[in-house]
Amino acid sequence: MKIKFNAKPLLSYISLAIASAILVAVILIALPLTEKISDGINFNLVTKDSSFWSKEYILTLQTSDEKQVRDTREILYRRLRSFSVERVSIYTLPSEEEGLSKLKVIISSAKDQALVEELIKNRFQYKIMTKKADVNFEDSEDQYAYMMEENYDPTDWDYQDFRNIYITKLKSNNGTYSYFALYKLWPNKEKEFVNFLSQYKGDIIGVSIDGYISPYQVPEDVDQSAFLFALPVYTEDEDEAEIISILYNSGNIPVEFIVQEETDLPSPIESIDYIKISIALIIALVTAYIYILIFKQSTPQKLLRSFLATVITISLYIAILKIQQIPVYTILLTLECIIASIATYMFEENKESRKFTLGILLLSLLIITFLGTGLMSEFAKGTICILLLSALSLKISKRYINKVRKI
Amino acid sequence: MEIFLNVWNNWSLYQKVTIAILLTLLFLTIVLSVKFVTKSKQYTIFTIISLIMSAILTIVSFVFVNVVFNTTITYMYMLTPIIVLIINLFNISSSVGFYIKNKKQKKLDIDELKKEFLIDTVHLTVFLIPLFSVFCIFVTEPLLTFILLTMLVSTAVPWINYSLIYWLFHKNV
Repeated sequence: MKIKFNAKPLLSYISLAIASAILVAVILIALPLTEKISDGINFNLVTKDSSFWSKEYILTLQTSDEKQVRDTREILYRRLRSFSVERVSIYTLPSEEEGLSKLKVIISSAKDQALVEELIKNRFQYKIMTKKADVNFEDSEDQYAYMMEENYDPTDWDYQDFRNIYITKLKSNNGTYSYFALYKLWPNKEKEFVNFLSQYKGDIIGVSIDGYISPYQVPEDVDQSAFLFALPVYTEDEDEAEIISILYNSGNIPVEFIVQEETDLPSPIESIDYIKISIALIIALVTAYIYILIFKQSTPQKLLRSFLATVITISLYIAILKIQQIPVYTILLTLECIIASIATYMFEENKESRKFTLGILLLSLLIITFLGTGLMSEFAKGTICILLLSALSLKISKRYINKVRKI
Repeated sequence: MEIFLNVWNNWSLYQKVTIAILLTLLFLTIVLSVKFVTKSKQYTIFTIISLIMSAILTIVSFVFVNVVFNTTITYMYMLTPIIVLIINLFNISSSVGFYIKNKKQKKLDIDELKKEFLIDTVHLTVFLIPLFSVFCIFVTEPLLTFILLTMLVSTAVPWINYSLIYWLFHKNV
């Protein structure tokens, strides 16, 4: 007797079982209180809420010139924005002292406070200096002589001669990779700079940054090949290297300034109970679907597809955040989930406009991501991800339901 | 007026330029996309008025809570215009979708369009109110005002659009 074996339905069963298992796993990972589902992997949702800090700084500027104050304000703002600091407000305060001006800087961020403060506490003005003839750097009684600005003579070379300082990892003398600052000159100054350095072949010169010297030994072959003026950056930390890059390239603060006052402020970000809000959102979502079903505003098939797609979208998004340990603000996550619920339903209900809606939303959110500030940009980024997941989930949901029906 | 002057004076030139570019780009992108897809003057005018109305409503609501409830408009409120814009885009694009569906017909049935628009507006309201309401239960001031305000403005915008459709599309296109 010949047994006819059709592998297609069996494969269909198996693929459906695998898809169901993955779906259940994703939902379990995303749900609150399932963090301890495995001892091997951490499924905690990392939130930024607790690390959010807020502080007010009063800066005293050694000038009463309005343009210089305005320029300082612009540069500080540019620096903080480049580091994606969530909230920055810089106000000009009236100063009672003659020849002085004041700026009030309010910062709220989840970023490392010490790093953010480097951006507002440093003027970061750099200039090239040459060693004084009568100073001996090999003197064992003054081992730090090479770091003191008073042991160097000023030159005409400073920040104005360099168009950009590029921070990158290069191979150092001991074979390991370290951060270096590559000083890129304006094209018309390149030859002149090499000629200047040629006078100090083999000697130590210094780059003074706000009075602190970084020594640099001029190579013997400075004028013989394509020359690269690279100064070591004393950090291995990527964020710190980014800070140094921002400080170098954000423009020149025209006046000396000091931080006169620092005041801690209460955090403006409220922490939301992730467990309670998850349960509440599920109830609200089910209520909305029941309402639409009772009042026959849509077909049960459409509602089933969009409900399943909403569950997949939100679960997948939260599961990715949990597995990748991506820190989030609970308030933004909640708002993104609300948008995802609405988007998935609207995409399913208006199939003919799905591509147009998705396209125009992605375009608008991309503009906000690049030009928006702080939370705006962060929210736009999260919403882009969740909208794309929503469009994908609708396809998964449709195929999944069709397969289940065929069995 | 004071609230706007304070904001304007406390913004750096960089901020002012960035926000101006952001708003201009958003406006042009949305309006030109609608114009390109529908090739309809009425739809383009509808989109322009809708965007302007939602912006005005958002600003008026900020002034209202600031003046009446003495609530400080913190930077958290910068999220409100984005959420309102997203909801508005869902609403506008659903009518564009209806237009695409009926493109082959020489005449667009305005009554059908109004009906479709009403259904979409009701659906958006049905989702917005419960989802934002449950959110309100778990937050306290100042976040509560922000959530309530965002919910009210986001819900009002689709209904403004619906009245605009009534006003603009009084005869068949």
